[in-house]
Amino acid sequence: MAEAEKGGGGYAYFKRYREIIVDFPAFMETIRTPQPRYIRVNTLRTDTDTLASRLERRGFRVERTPISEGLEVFGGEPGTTLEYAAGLYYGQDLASMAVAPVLSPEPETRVFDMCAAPGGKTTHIAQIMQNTGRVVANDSDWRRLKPLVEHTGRLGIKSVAVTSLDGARHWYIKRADYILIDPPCSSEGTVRKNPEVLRKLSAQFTKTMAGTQKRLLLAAIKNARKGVVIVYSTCTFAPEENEAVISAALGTGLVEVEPVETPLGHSRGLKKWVDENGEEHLFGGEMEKTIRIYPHQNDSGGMYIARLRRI
Amino acid sequence: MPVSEGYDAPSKVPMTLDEKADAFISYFTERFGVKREHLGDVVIFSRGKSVYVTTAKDAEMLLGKRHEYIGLRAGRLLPGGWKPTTDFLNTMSSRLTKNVVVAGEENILAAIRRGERLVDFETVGETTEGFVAVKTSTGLFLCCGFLKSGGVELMLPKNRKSALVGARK
Repeated sequence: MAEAEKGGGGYAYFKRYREIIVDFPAFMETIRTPQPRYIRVNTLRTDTDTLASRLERRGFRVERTPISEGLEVFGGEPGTTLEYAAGLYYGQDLASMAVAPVLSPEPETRVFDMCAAPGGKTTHIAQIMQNTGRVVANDSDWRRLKPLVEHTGRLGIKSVAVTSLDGARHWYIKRADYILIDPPCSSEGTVRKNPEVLRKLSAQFTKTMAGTQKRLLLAAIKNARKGVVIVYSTCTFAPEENEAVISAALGTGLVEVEPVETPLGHSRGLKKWVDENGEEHLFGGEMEKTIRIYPHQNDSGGMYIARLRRI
Repeated sequence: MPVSEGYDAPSKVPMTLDEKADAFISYFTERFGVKREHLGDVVIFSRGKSVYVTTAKDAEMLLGKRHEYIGLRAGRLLPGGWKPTTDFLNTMSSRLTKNVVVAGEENILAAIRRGERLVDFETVGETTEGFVAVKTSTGLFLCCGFLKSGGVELMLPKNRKSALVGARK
C-alpha cells in the first residue's frame, strides 16, 4: 500500500506532490516553519497606512503585502491592542485574503457564502461591498459560526445574515448574485499554523472530502441563476479536492471557468496529475485559469481558487 | 455584474419594524445626539429583549426565514431601561455629539487591568449619568460605559477585555 493511502505519514505525505510543485525542496522547507502573522485592515473604519502607523507606534514592525489591505506584523500578538478591540483589523492568512477579491462582489448585491465559518472571507466580502447589500453566511455547524457573529460585530458589519442549514439545499442559492463555496477540506495548506492536520491526512480522508465538495458545488451550480459568479476555494493541495471537483462541475455543461488573477505569487491549476499509484488524471486546459497558492511563494498558507460563471 | 432580481431601491432612512425597535432608536438618538437619518439605509427590528440593525436588502424576507442571526445587535432592554451595545456605538462613533467620554490610553488600560472604574476623563457635549461612549484621546472608540458618581464602568465585551489585559501601551 502506498504511503499516502495509509495516512499519518507526517510531512512525508506531501511527497505525493513532488512532481506538481515548482521548487519542491523550498515548499517542504517552508511548511515546516511557523506561519507569519498577517492582518487584514478593516477598510470600513481605517486605511492601511493609518493602521500601519498606529501599530508601529506600539512597537510592532509592520510590512506591506501584495494585497493592499493585508499587513504582516512582527514583534508581538496583534490580537491584544486597542486597535484590535476597536475593530480596525482582522487576523487572516495572506493566502485566504486572495479569495474575496476573486469573487469581487459589487456593492448592493446579494452574496451567498455557503460554508462561512469562521468568517474571515465573509467579513472580507462585506468590506468589499462597503457594508451594503446582503451577505448570507451559512455553515451547517452553528457552533462554528459563533466567532463569525463576534467578528462581524467587532468590525461593524451590518450586512451579514447568519444561517445554519445544509448549504446544498439553501434557499438563498437561487437569489444570490455571487456564491462563495469554501467547503470543508483536508486543510493541507494550514499545516504551518496547525501541524495537527498531519494526523488526519490520508487518501481516504481526501476522497471523503472530495465527495462533500462535489455535492456542495454541483448543488450550487444546479440552482444558481444564469450569470451568477461562483468562486470555489480550498486550503488544500490535493488535486482530488481541487481540479477534479472543478472538472466535475464543467461536466454539467452549466458553468464556464473564468481566469483568476491575484497579486500574490501563484501557480496555475493542473491540466493533469499522476497520483502515487501511477494513475493519470486528466483535468483539461481550462484548469490553467484556476490558481494554486503554495506556502513558499508568499510565506503564507496554501490555497486553491477557481472562478466559475453559470451559463 | 449579474443583475439582482427584485432590487430594493435604498430608502436612505432607517426603517423600524416594530415598537420596541422604534423605542430604542428614540432613546439612542436622544441620548447620544444623533440624527435619525444618520443611521442610514438600515432596517431595525427587535427579537426578545434585543434590538438589531441590518442593511435593508432582503431584510424582511430573511426575517421570515429560518435564521440564526441578522445584522448587528444594537441594544438590549434591561430592567432599568435601554443599553446600547459597544459594537453599535462604534459604528455610530463619528456621529455622537453628547454623552461621550474621552480618556488617555494608559488610564483606560490601567482601569481595565485593575478592574476599576475610569475616573480621569474628559467629556464631549452634554454628559449626564447613564450610558456613555468611551473613546481614547488618540481617537479610538473603545466601548460602552456607564457613568455614575463621577466614574465610568467600562463595559467591554469579555473576550476583548481579557485580550486587553495584556495589551501593550
